[in-house]
Amino acid sequence: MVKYSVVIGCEVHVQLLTKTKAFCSCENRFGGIPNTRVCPVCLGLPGALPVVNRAMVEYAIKAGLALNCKVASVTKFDRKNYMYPDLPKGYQISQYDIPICYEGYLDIESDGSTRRVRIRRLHMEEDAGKNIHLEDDSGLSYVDFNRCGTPLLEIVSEPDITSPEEAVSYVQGLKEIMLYLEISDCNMEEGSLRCDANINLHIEEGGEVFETPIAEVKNMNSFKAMKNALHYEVERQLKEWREHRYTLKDFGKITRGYDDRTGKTILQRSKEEESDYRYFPEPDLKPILIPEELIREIRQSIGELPREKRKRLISEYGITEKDAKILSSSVALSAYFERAAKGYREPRKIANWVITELGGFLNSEGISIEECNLPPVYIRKLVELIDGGKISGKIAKDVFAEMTRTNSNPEEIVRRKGLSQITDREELQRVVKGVVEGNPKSVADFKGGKDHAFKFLMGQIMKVTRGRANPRIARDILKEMLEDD
Amino acid sequence: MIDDKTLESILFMSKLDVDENVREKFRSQIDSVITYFEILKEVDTESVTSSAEEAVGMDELRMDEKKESFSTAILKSFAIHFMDGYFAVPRIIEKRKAEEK
Amino acid sequence: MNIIEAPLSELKEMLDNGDISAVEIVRAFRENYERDEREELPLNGYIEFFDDAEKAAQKSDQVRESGDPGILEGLPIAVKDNILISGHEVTCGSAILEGFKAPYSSTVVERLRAEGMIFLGRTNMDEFAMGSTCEYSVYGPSRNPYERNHVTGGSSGGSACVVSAAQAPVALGSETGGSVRLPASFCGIYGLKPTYGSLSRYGLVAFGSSLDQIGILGRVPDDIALVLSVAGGYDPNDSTSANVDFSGIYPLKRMKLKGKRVAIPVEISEEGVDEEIRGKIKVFSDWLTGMGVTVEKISLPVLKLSVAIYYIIAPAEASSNLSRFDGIKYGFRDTTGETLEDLYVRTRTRGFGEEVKRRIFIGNYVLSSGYYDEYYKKAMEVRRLLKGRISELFTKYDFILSPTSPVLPFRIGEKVDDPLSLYLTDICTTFANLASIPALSVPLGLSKKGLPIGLQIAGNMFEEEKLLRVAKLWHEESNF
Repeated sequence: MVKYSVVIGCEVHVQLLTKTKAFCSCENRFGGIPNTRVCPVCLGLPGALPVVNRAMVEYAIKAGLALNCKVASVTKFDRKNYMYPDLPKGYQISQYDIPICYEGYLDIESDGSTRRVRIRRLHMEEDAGKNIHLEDDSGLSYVDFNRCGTPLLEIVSEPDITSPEEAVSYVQGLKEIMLYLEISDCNMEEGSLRCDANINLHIEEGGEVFETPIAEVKNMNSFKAMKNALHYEVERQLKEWREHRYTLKDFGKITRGYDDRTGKTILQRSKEEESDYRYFPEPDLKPILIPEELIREIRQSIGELPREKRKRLISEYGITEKDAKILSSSVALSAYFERAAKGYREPRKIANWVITELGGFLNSEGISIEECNLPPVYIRKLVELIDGGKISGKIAKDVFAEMTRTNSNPEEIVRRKGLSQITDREELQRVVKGVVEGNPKSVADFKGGKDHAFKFLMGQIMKVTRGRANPRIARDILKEMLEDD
Repeated sequence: MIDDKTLESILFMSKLDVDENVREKFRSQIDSVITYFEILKEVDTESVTSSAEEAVGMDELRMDEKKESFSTAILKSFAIHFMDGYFAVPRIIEKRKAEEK
Repeated sequence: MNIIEAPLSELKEMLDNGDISAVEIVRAFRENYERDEREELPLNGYIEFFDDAEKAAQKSDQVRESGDPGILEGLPIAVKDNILISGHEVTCGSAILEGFKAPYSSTVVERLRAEGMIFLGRTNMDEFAMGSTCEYSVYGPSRNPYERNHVTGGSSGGSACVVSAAQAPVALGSETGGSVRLPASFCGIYGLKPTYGSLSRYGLVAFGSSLDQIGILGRVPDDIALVLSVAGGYDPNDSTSANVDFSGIYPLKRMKLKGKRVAIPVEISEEGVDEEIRGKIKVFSDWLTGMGVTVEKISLPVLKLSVAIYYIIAPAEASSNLSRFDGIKYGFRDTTGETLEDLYVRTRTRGFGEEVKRRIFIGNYVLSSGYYDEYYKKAMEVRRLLKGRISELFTKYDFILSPTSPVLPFRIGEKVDDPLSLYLTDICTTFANLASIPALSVPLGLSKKGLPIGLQIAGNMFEEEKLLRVAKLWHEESNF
């Protein structure tokens, strides 16, 4: 049995949701008719020059601060030179030796405990276009430059990650923060969140530690793919070690691509084929001064991050981990919940209503929580009506529907529509009596030992009262009456 | 003198080729220029600091406001081969794949 | 008055007075150009004289009639073939861009057009502005109007040629290391390299981005001032453009020279400089002294390094800037190969000329891992050092004086295969680009053999006006 530990570092690319591209004023969004969002700058026409999008810089600072990074007081851009058809200038504008943010960290949960993954750097760069290969007989490939120039953040971690599962929760943690900051939609399938992982094994043998060659694994297009690819890579490297005893010193770093269909990684590039990118300072752009004041301002605007919020919601409101996770995913949603739940003795119920009923409503209407006009206090009043025994849970759903339709107070709706529960024993006795008398066969069945007849009779009581009968009291009365006979 | 390996690797980066019959002339021309650069070696640049005065403030950056992009007609006017809305290029066969075939 | 010999100021007056029309102006220049084309050795200053120039002139005459003429209404200009004019071809003198029609205009062209200027044609140049002779053009060399077997200087040789030969009153050129001043000097006209950032680079095909600057060539200082007053200033499309306003500089005011201080660095004005050129510089400096100027020889050893610094930084930036010419999107494509690598290598090997290939190679060499620190990084540091020294110098002096070129115009073909010796003709000019300062080449007269001699006068950042005002005094004095 080989004793080993897994060492993983991640390079994550996140597309930013600015209105325009990184260095030109073309619209920045996903998909659309090919080559309709291109101009001299993002097509790399002769004579065109880049101009930095201010929003990109602000988003980068925001992301960096949320990841506990330091922010450079002066930052600059560099050119990364390589030629490929989807890269119209033959170089990518990126950042080399002075990234905008550096030395941060992200805490993640792993096996029930908290682990800290250090972040080495976070920098800005531009995305490339897309090469499209159709299996036609034209002998041609096609290039769409719409994506070209989309602003990206590249977030590079230290090799602090010790398992494929941890790698996934690290990237999920990044995603959660980006979504919370509303600077990216982090859609792995559409490529707005992309992760490459550097992985190798540290193998202990005879008191010595051997490092296997580092593989940079690319093309992991979902969290599931990421987990599978990295597990595959662990096994592959173990096998390679057993068979050949290759080490990092022999091979250096290789690049491997994950194939989702086979679940395997395939060698793409060995060390000898590594490109020399000939980085140098981008002469078309001057360095940028980032004032302390701006950093302070942005730091303040961030507020409580999802992870802290989640912890607080659990301790303050006693809600479940699962609910806390959902509520903390958006500032507006958690704020809504807190306004509804503040001071109420059963916040769990409020959480449930906000997530299930309100969430379902927003979903079906296709609107966001920000666009929702329903006052949070209505949700709370509705839960109060249920808890106070004024209405049943079933009626409450009708009231909720009416409430969202007319945007009116649930108490008002209950009053207006006469929906309040019948809790008066005398009134209920009259109703139950009527039902018992009207259904002699069911009564006989019950007495004959058929329990389902009881359910039928309860149903009839609800039917007569249009659901308003307090089920607990009605059940007691029905039991009494049937046993009395 | 620039050795063969360096010559090849720089030509590869440059995406250029030099004919065999003029290769030596090319090499010696480049060599004389690079040798001339040696005069910089003696210069003491220890005290040279980066020039922060050239940096710009955030206010000089571009506001995130959309402007019109090129129309397809304009793209067609200069593209080498424009087809079905795309820039068409001979099918991209990479070296590795070409070798596999 | 002879139209083709007249400075812009006079053409402007004649237009304003209704003595001539813009159409007549364009015709006069076209006729002069076409006459020369029938010569045994045509000057070859224009790559293309625009067919639509006359149409633009007709329109301009209509605008004038309607009573709202622009500042430059009906005045013509020639444009170096690396500055984009929407709808016109732009080739940079290269086969790789043959047939490429500009889908947008450069900022400078837009500004001139907005004030009514008419573009006569595209002028010849060393391929991608890489050269000091205008021989490295796919369209063949331009010829020196003073002696047709001699080079015009480069890279803006076509622009200098057409202005000198009265095929245009003024022209736009571009500078990276002397490409406006050197041909201006060789062709006996004025050539201004403005401060880095004075004119927008948007729409100027990039060579060495941290050095590139559009320049102006003319036969009188005032003509250059007039064009600069409209074309210069901040452009949001060029992040390196400066917040500077030239709108008030034309007409150039008279300058009091008394009390001014001039430095002549020995490193670029004595050793290796042609005797006749040194003689003419003496005439000029004596004139200055006579006007009450203090002229002092100084030593600035770092100037000796400027060619080395320049030929590292400019090719480094060029190697990256020219990566976009890959046969994928526009321009020339070679399809004889099978792989993507073939497409790139064959397109570029056939599309680029020898000098461009050499510079791309040098650029990639000095940027590649293992050589970066030794060459590129070092050159950047020495550049900063030089910049500092120059800026110190301007605390004591108003101007730096030197020849524009250490040698007289030489014969076509003489140095074409010796890149290093050609690079060294840039010894007097490159420091201005490296230090981002403005410099003007001033014609001093002819050598015994009838070849023009030029002098360079450099000033502190954004002091273009000061340079032009000195030149104006000289121009009135010298009548050259």
